[in-house]
Amino acid sequence: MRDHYSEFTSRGVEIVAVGPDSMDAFRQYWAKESLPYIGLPDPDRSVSKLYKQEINLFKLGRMPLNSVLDINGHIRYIHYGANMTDIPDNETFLEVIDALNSPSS
Amino acid sequence: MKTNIITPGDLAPDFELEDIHGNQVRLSSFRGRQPVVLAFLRGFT
Repeated sequence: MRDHYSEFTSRGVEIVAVGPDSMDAFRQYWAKESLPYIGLPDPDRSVSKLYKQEINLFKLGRMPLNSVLDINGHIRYIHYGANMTDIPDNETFLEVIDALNSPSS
Repeated sequence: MKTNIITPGDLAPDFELEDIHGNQVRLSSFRGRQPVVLAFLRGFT
């Protein structure tokens, strides 16, 4: 998503990423990958639990969960990953966003 | 486990966390301002 961040910001969208790792791990990862969007460590998993993100039973970690919120804060798209790599591609997000931003929606 | 998952149309549950720069970020602060792609990561390791 990093390389396509401008496609989101040009549509007026912010990207917010929540993860189970510590603040230190987040800072290192964000710096290493030069990530431009908002990174929110959730080491006690309180927000992950709030959103019913599923635990990977076989490895440490979480199943990816991705969603798009409209300007009023309502969920317009949500995808609970079926496995660790089940993450929607950027085109999927952008299609949802373009539908939100179209005058008829 | 699937009974209480969040579905389209729901108001996204609000939360506040500290970002990597030390700023408090509240999800509801984006309401009325901009759409959000909200991603929950699997973990770096």
